Amino acid sequence: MELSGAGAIPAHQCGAADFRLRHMREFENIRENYVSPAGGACLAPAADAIKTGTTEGGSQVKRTGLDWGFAEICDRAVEVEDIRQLFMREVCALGFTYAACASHVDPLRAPPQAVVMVDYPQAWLEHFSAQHYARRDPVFRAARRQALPFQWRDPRFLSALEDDQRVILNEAAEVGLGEGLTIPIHAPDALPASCSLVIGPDGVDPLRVRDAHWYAVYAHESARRLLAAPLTAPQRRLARREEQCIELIARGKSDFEAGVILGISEHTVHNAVRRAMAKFGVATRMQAVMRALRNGDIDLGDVAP
Amino acid sequence: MIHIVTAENRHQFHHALMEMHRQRKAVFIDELNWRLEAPEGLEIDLYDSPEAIYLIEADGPRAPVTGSARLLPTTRAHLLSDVFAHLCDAAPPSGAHVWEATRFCPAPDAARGAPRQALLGRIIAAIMEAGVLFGIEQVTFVANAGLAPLAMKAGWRARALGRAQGKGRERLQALAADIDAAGLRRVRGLNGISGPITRFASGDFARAA
Repeated sequence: MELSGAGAIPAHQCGAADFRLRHMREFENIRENYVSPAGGACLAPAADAIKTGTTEGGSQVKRTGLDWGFAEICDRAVEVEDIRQLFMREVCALGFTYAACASHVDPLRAPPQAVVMVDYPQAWLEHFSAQHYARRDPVFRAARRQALPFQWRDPRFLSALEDDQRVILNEAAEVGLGEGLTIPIHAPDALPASCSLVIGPDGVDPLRVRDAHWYAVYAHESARRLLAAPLTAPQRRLARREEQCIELIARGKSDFEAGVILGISEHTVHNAVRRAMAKFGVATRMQAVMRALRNGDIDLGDVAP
Repeated sequence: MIHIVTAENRHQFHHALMEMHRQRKAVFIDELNWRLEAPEGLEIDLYDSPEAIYLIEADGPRAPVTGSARLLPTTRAHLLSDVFAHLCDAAPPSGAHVWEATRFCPAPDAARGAPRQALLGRIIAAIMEAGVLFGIEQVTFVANAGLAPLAMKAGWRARALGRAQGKGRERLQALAADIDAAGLRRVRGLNGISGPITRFASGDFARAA
């Protein structure tokens, strides 16, 4: 029976605990059978095995709606690779063939804090990297400018493209990455990111696309947390006064003007800004403003002209 | 041809359904500025579910979609009772033999004027064919000032359920039409349709074949 969930019992009504337990066992099996690739790159040697496992062998877990066990397993993952495998299983089960849930970086030369959960054809990744497409990819650009997912066939997306960006999309289509959607991901203190999903030959039920949206956002967040933990030095918080001064600097005020607004001396403002720069370990006031924005110490809405 | 897509066979029509929801976004949100949501780049509302029946015009499951419409059983949540009850003088018709038709959507690139009217004629014929197949006796729908006169003279026996309300193009009226063999013949005659234009690929049948 594959009646798209019609009349089937939602997972949460057939024993959620049991459901999660079974899913955990499945997941443990994957982890035991999986040998991490040398070099730690997360590029998909096991992806095909996962795909055949879910489509032909038939998943043991009958899923009829959003799988809340997914969140729990992501939270417990100790390696990004675990999250990547689980994520790929879920989206392949929905009918997607390729997926890239990743920071907007060169996937083959990713900085350590970048999330790279990519299951794309290797040849395409090499081409993408060699051509430095990460800088021009129209999908990345659109994802940075909006919060909601977009379909690659959406006339609004296509009409905003420049010629060299059309070339990128056409080349991608030629290697089987032609039909799908991109889910922008905006997380605090993270590199710009998105999840692109390629629709497979049997299609994807449009009513299940929102499941993929949820999986992507959650998988990215879990991976980001995992990667950020060892990298981030303990954050030095700005004092209230430093925060106020940086915010006024960001609004274009001089030290003197900021002093007048706050009722303190120009000199005190100057020192507060210096202290903020020292805490962030940056050399200029501009960089201090950018760091404060990125950390969420000050809010873009309060300082944007 | 127009495919009848139900819970039973929708797994064969994922591509066409996806394209239909994309087109609905392009037409109703981008073009007509209806206040609807498209959270995944697809216009999907509360009433889209596997239990809805979709009519999708395409030459095959993967061929370009040229138009679509949605039919909702009135035994479940539907718009005329939930949202547009004020357009009806009496209680909106509902029950096991009543469907509600919504979201008539020509492909965004369909030429305006005659081609779109011809599509409307084909969709109405398809609604009647599907209705006959499923034992439906009556179809209700809400039409704006542009659509209402076309729907009234499409050949089926249609009547207003209440006075039109609102202004300009968004002057809305609730209508009901009877589904019967005589009406279907008239709709076909008026639209130059020589025979059945719908296909209902039963899920089980397709697997058995």
